[in-house]
Amino acid sequence: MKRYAVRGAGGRRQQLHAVDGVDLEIAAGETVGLVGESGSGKSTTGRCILRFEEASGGRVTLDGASVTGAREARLRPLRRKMQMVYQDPLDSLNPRMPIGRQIAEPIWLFGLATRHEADRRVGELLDLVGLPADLAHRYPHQLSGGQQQRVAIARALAPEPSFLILDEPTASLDVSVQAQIVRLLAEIQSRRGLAYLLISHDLALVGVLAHRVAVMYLGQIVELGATDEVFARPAHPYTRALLSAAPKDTPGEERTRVFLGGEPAAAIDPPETCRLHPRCPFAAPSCLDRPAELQGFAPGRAVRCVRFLDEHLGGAWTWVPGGTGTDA
Amino acid sequence: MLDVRGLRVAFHTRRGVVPALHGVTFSLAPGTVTGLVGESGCGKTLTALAIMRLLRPPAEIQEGDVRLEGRDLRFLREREMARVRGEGIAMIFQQPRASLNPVFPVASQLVHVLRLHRRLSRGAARAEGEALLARVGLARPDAVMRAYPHQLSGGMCQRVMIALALACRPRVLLADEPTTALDVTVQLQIVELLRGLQRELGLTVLLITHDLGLVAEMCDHVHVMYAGRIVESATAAALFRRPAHPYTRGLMAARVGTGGRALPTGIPGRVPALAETPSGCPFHPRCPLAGPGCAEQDPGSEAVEAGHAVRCHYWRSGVA
Repeated sequence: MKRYAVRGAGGRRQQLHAVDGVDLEIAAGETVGLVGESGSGKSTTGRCILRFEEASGGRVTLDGASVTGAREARLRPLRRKMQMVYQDPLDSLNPRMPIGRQIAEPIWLFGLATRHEADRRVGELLDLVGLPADLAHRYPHQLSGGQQQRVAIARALAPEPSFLILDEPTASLDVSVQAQIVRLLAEIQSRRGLAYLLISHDLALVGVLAHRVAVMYLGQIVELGATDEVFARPAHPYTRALLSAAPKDTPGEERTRVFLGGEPAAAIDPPETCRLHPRCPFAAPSCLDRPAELQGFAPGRAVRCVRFLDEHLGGAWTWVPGGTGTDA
Repeated sequence: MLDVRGLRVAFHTRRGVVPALHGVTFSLAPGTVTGLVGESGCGKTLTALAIMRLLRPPAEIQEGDVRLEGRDLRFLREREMARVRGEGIAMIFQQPRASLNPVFPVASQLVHVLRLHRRLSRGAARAEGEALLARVGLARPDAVMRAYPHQLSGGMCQRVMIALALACRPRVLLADEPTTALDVTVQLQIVELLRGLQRELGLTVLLITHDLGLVAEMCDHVHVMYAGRIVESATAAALFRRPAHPYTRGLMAARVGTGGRALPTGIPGRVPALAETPSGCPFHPRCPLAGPGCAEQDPGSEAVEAGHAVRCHYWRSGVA
């Protein structure tokens, strides 16, 4: 079992609470989706886990070893085990180096093989991601978006990590290519038993790849649970708004929508009470009576919503079919 | 309202003339929303730019007819075309922040357009500008007027762009990927806004997108494009109920999430580069229905049923 416990907060001057009290555990072979819109803190969380940014507080452990506390010498072998795939492959690929060499680089750098042996591994990796071996001599700009992303995945897999963070891995790709990459990621996970943290604003993608999902709003996790469960019976109003905002599948479909008012505020000096309250269609004055804490309410499920917890624990909550929850 | 017939656009490159649009033909009926759907490189944005006569060398319109309410746009003098842009046809673009001028506040951009096209005085233009911002759902129009684009969120910038587009009371709106760069809840707001404005103002809309979900939300009619051609045309309802072209069917199957937890199906291969367009039907190397003749002859248009056309030699074998 591999565990990655993250509890962190990133803050800047005037205390922008970019990430506030995020706890996540991801097991081998599991994908946890981190869903939220811009400003939710999901990407910052990803960067803090890898220590591309230093968290202001909290702990990240990988397989029991502390990531947050480690100094350079200890961090290096850990870095090998955790890799990232980014939204725009052109951001992460070196435009001046043939792709074969870019894939080989982590292998040499981590001392995993001789140069000769590394070439063979590059061939295997290209094969794994569905690219012909002769592409190794090309430069990134000579490849299509989908091919570039496959290269980025191959390079992330080169040091044989156990954990991959996927940050909007398909957002910049065409629809038919997105589908190919989604299938590839699923296949690699099942073949290699990797743990994935999938960061995305795309609920459909998370629905298809993630076993569990954490929904973030303004730096906090507001809902957590098995993906199927959360999508079928969302507890938090923000989750319900996100789910209902997704475009229809067909023109004839009827869809009831949950609307949030206004725009999200920046998470500067946020209150202890519910951060969605100003926009929430289910807001009640009693929502501000106490701090909004993330609490479990069913096996494997937690939510940060005062009203839901009060009504659910009080027995008054009923799930309305279609996942739109109780209307009030 | 808008008729496009036989539009051919090509690029002049060092390696010769590369065709990009191959005889694109469609019409927009007044007051309807029509989708132009396809992935990158299919020519949908190029079509919009050609309609607006915004193409610059090396791109060139070689042939074709573009008529707005019967009036030929192709051979208008530039000065007259400049009036059509805005008053006849307005366009909104994909990256809202990138399309607004970053060094001018919103007010001056709106006022500029209003004074130019509607000949308003400065004071009247300011007032009208604020009214437009309110019309597109911005909560504090006065504050937005004073703001620079970088101070506004993506959704707000998109609303400003819609306001700019509507400022001149166009008959037709070309919307190029209007929601792509936006968060999903903001996307929904923009969709609702566009639908409301379209109904209220009787706008005729051409919606350019790769997102079938957006098509399901907004469109009455749809044209699917591939490699510079329209390969299928139908009402939105018919397209989703009975997609005929193998590429359309591939796009439907590639959608993530519509099959429950099942993984989407990709389309093998990739969109060909313009200069490497396959012979005959350009989709044939990737097509599950490809058969004899596909590599030799570009299919003509056939009727699937009334109002539903497809360009494919073997479409019948794919459809139930």
